Amino acid sequence: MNRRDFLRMAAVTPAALLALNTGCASRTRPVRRVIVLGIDGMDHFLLRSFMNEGVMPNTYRLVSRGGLSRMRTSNPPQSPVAWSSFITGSGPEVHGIFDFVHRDPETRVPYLSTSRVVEPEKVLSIGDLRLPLTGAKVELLRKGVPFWKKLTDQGVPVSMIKLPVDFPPDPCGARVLSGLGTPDLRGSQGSFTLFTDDARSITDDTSGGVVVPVRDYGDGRYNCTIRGPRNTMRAESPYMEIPAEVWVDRVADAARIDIQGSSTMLSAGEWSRWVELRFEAIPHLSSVSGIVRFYVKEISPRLKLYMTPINIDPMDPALPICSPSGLSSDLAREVGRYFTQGFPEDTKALSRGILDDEEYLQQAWIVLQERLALFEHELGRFREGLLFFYFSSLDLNIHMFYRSIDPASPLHDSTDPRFKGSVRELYATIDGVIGRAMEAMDGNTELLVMSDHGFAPFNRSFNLNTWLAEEGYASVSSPQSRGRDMFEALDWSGTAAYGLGLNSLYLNLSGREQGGAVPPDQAPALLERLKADLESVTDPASGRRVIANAYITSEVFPGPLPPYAPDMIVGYDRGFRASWETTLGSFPDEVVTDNLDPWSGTHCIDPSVVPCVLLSSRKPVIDDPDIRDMGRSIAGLFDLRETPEAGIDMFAEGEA
Amino acid sequence: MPRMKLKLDDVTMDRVRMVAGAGGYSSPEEFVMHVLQRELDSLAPQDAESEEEIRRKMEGLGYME
Amino acid sequence: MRHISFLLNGFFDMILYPFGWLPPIWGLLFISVASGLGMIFVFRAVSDQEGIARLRRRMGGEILGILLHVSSPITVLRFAGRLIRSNTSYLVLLLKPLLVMAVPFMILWGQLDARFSSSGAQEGFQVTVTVQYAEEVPPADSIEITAEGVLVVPPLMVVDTLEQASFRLEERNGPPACITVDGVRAGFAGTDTRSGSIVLRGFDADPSPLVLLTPMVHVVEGSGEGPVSGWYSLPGKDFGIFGMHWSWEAVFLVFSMVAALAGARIMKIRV
Repeated sequence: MNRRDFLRMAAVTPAALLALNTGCASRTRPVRRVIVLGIDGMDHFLLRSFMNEGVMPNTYRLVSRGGLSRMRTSNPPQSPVAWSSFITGSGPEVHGIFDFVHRDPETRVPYLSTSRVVEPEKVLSIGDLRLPLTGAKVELLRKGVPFWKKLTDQGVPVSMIKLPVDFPPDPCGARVLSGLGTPDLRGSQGSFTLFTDDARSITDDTSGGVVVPVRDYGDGRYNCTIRGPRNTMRAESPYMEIPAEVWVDRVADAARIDIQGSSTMLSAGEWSRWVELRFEAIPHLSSVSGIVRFYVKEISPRLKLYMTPINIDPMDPALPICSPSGLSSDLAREVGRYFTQGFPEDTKALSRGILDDEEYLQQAWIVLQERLALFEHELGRFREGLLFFYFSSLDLNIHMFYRSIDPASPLHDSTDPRFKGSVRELYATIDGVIGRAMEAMDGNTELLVMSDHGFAPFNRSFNLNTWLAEEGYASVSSPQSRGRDMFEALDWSGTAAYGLGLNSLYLNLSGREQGGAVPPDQAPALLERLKADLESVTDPASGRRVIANAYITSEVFPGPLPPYAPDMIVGYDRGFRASWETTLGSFPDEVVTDNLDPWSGTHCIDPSVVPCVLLSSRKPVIDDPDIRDMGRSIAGLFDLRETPEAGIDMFAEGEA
Repeated sequence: MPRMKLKLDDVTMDRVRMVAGAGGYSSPEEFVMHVLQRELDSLAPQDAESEEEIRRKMEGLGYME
Repeated sequence: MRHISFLLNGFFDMILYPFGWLPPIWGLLFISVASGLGMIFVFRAVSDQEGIARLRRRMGGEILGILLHVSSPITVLRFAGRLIRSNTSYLVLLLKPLLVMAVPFMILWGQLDARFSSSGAQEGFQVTVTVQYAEEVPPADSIEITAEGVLVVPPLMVVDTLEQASFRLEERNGPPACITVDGVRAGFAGTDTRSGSIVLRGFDADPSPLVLLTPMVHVVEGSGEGPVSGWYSLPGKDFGIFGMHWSWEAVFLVFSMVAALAGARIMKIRV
């Protein structure tokens, strides 16, 4: 189904409108079905402007019969934090997710905040072989009880499809397919590969993926090696690899990729369907499955063959991505294989220039098409209970194309005018999704469409660590290492604070950090001083304030906090964000610089700047709902003896 | 288990015995083992990930470099 | 040989015909169970049941002898020697039924592989076809490809080094499909939508004498200037049973074995 067909199908029928009216008329009547669409990154301002322009007719109808609310997002307004708040009805003080990245307080080593792999405790070594006697497992680091547990406990069927921050799934009786936070087969958040003999494309840069040099020795053949996950069943855990032969015909401008007995032929400019890869840990006994799509960027004069990150095969998942365990394969049988990684749109390939704008959008559209097919399938089988369905497309694509709608972006003028309508098209497609959900409604159904945060431009980068060094809060002892990650340039004994992740600032606290320099009794005063100093930082280029609010964590979140919690959350003002270099602890020369990465939109700033939205077929009775209220409010729509305690039921008169 | 002889002066040995007893250790050897392991973990963490491994896990997270 | 092949294909088509409109697992399960039972009946018919019973009794006695004389190493060794002799005799007794069943088993295996190991082409999906020439591949613009029931997707690419040409076909859900490459006409996979039908995975103008074992390869008449063989890159297939993914081989081996053992127990057949 192409986009046009989908939009046509999504046109709201009179029956659906009638159904919607019926739903509205029964404001207090419990319902049998609730559909929740989780649209990551749907922005209040953009939504309103596209509705006014007539781009979103279905959304307009939904809003005119129910409501459109600005909803308070989490602090910081990052997707893992916000969706965890949605799931648990609480803030980071309960669910424990403060940023995309946390750090080990003692060693300051950063790690992904949402999940981790626990290695097997007992391993039997026979020569080169390492046989685990206890299973390795992946652990979800999000704490708290999901709101739907109250529903499933009382017999309400729940499906959470592509649910963020739920890898590995914590199902609590629901059908769950993990979304954001699900790694690729190599354990990263998505690592592409480019095979090429174009010397200009070959660099040492490994962010987001690798460029693998290959060579044609005159027979039209390139021997490529596909590097998979590490083989933990062998000493030294070498990478498992699969050889592939790529044959090219430069006259026909086509290539044939031969892997493990199967051939895939592609012309230049074409994407392949999913190709299965089987990595053997122990031949004939133990293997893991992955899937990739290829894109032939160029054949002549040089080969440029792009390969997506190796996704976990939903037909035979190597890691737990769903519950019950057969769900991902059942879905793949119904709609075909699909991207399983949490960040499926390859934004890094665009940032690195491996894919151009058009190629990136092609890949993003493949992701969206797959998601639409999954959505159609789920909608078709939905009879009763709660269906949550998540779309990542608005978020990641607007991150990449905010420059096309923001004349102030340093990259606005260099963006091809052809792509200036891409944001509008995406919103129109989501409008089609809303239309399809409305069609599926009957008198016993409510529809809620929510986002986790809004969007703002990311035009100027703030080098938090450089600022800390300039203001005397951090001591740079080896200037030649300023450009290196992990604080290599720092002298910890003279450092009071450091920035890591997107909004997090930590004190170098004695007794908590190894070699910490700040005595605990001086911490409160230091934080107050940092807050005042940060909130007065201005951009030398424009005189504009860089940071809207610097929040002292212990003041905004009640109760004891875990040792990995940041001491301060930096809420950047509109137009600014933590620089790329700040996120992993390096020290560029300037404090504020232009952001020249295509990643030109952000929400990792002050929560007041990027509220989320809630569209609902039933009008909320409170004016300022919070994302933490969603679980209780959804549960309140059913006829239940017990509902979750956290949050406020935004649809119940008594709770207003 | 391999064995290793450790020579301690009298004063240190007395202190080890005293602290091990006060700390609830079953023997001075157990206390010494514990102290050694704690120090080794902080100086040369056994499971510490290499910088390459840390980077690999973050790879593809568009929000970061 | 071609006539035998035709008859065999027709025979299996007939057996699987009632399952053609059900999910393929049902046909596979039926044929696995039927094969298991068939094999055990054949085993009873051609094996020396009396001899097997005698040997099993003798071997039971020899094991008991070992257990009773554990304290006497010489006696244990004597019994062990006898046990090895009995085992050898047992294997000899099994040889005849195994030989009788070997050829039908290989034919059955080939038929099941042709019918259940690949999904065939699916509508909207492109299948890469590679054809092999005996000598030099003709220039791309002189290779003639026509298709019925499927769509040829240009371009045609030539791999001179391997004397191969490749192109793609797109399933159109049409009638049973054929392709013709430089005058060589061959059936194409997966257009028969009935489950359990043969999914052709290639063609060969010079098939091996074992053609009966490879019904997934379409035997074509002399190739002339055309390709001598070809193969279609089709997606594999598995079966969901008890929440696990089973290859057709696993389904067949497990269910035929279970059926055979159950049949042997019910019919009191000695194995």
